[in-house]
Amino acid sequence: MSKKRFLQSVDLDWLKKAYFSNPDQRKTLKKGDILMKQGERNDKLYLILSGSLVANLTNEEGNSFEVFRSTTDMFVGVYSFFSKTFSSYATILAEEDSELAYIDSHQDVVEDDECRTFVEHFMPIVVSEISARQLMAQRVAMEKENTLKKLLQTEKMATLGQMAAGLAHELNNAIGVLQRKTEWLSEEISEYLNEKDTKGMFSFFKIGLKKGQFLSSSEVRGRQKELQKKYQLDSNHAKKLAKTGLTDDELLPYKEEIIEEAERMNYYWEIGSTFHDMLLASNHAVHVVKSVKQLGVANIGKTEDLDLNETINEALSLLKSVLRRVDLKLELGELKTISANSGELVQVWLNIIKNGCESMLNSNTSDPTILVKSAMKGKWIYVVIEDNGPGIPEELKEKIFQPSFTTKKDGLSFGLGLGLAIVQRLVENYSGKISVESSPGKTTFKIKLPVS
Amino acid sequence: MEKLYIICVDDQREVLSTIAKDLSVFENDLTIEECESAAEAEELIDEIDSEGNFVAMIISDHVMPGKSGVEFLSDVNKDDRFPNTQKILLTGLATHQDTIAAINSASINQYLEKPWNKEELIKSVKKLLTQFILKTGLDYQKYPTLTDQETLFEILKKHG
Repeated sequence: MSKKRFLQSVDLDWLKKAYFSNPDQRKTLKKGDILMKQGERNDKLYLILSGSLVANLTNEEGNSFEVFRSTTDMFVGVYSFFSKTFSSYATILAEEDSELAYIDSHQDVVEDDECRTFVEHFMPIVVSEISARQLMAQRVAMEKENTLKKLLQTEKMATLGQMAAGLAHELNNAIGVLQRKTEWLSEEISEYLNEKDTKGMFSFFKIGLKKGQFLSSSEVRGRQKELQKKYQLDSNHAKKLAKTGLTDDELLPYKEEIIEEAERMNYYWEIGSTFHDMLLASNHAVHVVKSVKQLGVANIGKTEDLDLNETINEALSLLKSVLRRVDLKLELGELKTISANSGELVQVWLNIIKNGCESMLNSNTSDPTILVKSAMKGKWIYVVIEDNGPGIPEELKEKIFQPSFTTKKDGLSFGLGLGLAIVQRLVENYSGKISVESSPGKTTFKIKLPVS
Repeated sequence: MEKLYIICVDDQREVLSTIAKDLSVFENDLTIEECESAAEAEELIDEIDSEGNFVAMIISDHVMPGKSGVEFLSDVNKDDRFPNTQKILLTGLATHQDTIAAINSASINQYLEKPWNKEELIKSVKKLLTQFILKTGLDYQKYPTLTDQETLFEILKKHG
C-alpha cells in the first residue's frame, strides 16, 4: 500500500498518461502466458493495467523459485530495461488474464513542465521496485528459517517420542510382570489364609490389602497412645495395632487376649498392606509409562458414550497422594456423553491438576485449594481447573505449552516438561480448545470440548 | 533407662513404612518413629527431648512439600539439643547444590540413594548408632543389637 502512495506522490497518473497511453503499445496475456523467459532478450518496460504476473527463477539444478509477484500499477522488466542488459533474469508469466502497457528502450523521452529527465521520471519506480523485491526476499528468508526451526523441533520430538516409546515398551514388560505376579501372589495367599484361617486373621489380611495404611503417621501416634491407655499395651504393641487402623469395635472380640493377638493382627494386616502398596506402586509405574508413551504413539481406542466426569474422577483418584495436602472443590455438572479415549482425557486432567497442586505445595501457599468444575453450554463441554497458587509468571505464559518446557528442573517429581505439551495436543486432537489465565493467587485453565 | 529413637521422614507413606520395616531388626532396643513431613518430625523431636530421651538418628527424604530434608537436617544440625544425632539423607533425586548444602550446612553422616539396599541401610544405621552411643557416653554394653563390633573396636582403639 505504501508503495502505491509513494508512486502517486511522484505522479503515477502523469507517467501513465505520458508514457503508457499509446494503444499500439499494449499487450494482453491469458492466464499462464509467458511474458519473457529467463536469459532471453527484453528491451521493454511494462506497466500492469490489470491482472497479476509472477516471476520465477530457475537454478542450475532445475529447481524453480518465485522471486517476485506484481499486480496492477506495478512495473515488470525493470531490471533488464534499466540495467541496459536487455536480458531478463527471470521467467515472467501471467498468473491470471492480464492487460499490460509498455515502452521501448529506444522510445523518445517525454518532456514535462519542469523539464525533468527520463531518469528523474523513472528513478522512484526503479527504487521502489527494487526495495519491494528486496523485502520479499527477506520475508522468504525469514519464513524459510522459521520452517527450518519448526522442522528441527519436530524432528527432535519425533526422536524423543521414539526413544520414549521404546523405553516405555521395555518398562511396560517389566512392570507388567511385577503387576501380574503381585496380583497372583496376593490372590493365592488370600485363598491360603482363607482356608487355614483359625482366628479370623484372614480378615486382617483383607483389611490391609484393601486399604493399606490409611492413617497418617501422626494419626498412628495418636491412636497408639489411646490403645496404650485402653488396653495397657506397651508402646511397641500399641503402635503395631494402631497402624492397622482397626477400630475399638473391630478389636472387641479380641479384647481378652489383646496383647497376644496384637502381634498376629499386625502381622497379617501387614502382609495384606504390603500387597496393597505393591499393587499401588506398580499401577503408578504403569501410569507413568503410559503418559510417556503418549508422546510416541497415539492411543486409538475410543469409547462411545463416555461420561467425561468419570475421567475427572479417575484422574483425581490417581492423584490421591498429592490431594491429601490440598483442599479439593468438585463441581461436576450433568454432561452429554462424548466419544473419546478415556485414558487420554484422564491424562489431560491429571497433568493440569497435578501442576496446580505442585505449584501450590512448592510455594507453601496457605490453604491450597483446587477447584474442578464441569458444565454443558450448547454443544460444548467446559472444564475449568482453578488453583490459588502463585500463578504463572508473565514471561513464562507463552512457553508453558511448549514441549521441553519445565519449571521442575531441580528434580521435583516428574519433570520431563512434556505434560502441558501433551495436554494441548490431546485437546486439539478432539477439536477442543485450551486457554489459561493466571495472576498471583488465581490460575485458571479452561478446556472446551465439542460434543460430537 | 533412657530411650533411643530413630526418626524416619518421608512424604510418601508407602516409602516411609518400607524404611521402618527394614529397620525393624533394631526395634527391641530402640523406637522407630515415622513422620510424613519435616514439621511433624520437628514436633516429635521436641517431645522426645523434653521427655529426656535421645534422638539417635534422623533418616530423611529430601524432596518434600514444605521444608526440604536438607533444610530440616540443617536446622537440627544447628540445634544444640541434638549435638550427636546422626543424620542420613535418603533420596531419589537431589541436585548438585542440594548435595553441597547437605554436606556443608547439615553435616549429614551418610547419603543413601533410592532405591536403597536393605543390607546397606542396616549396616550404615548400625555403624552410625555405634558412633552415637559412644559420643553420647552411653554404656555400649547395654545395646548389643545396636552396635557394630568393627566400628566399636576402631573407635575404642583410637581413643585408647
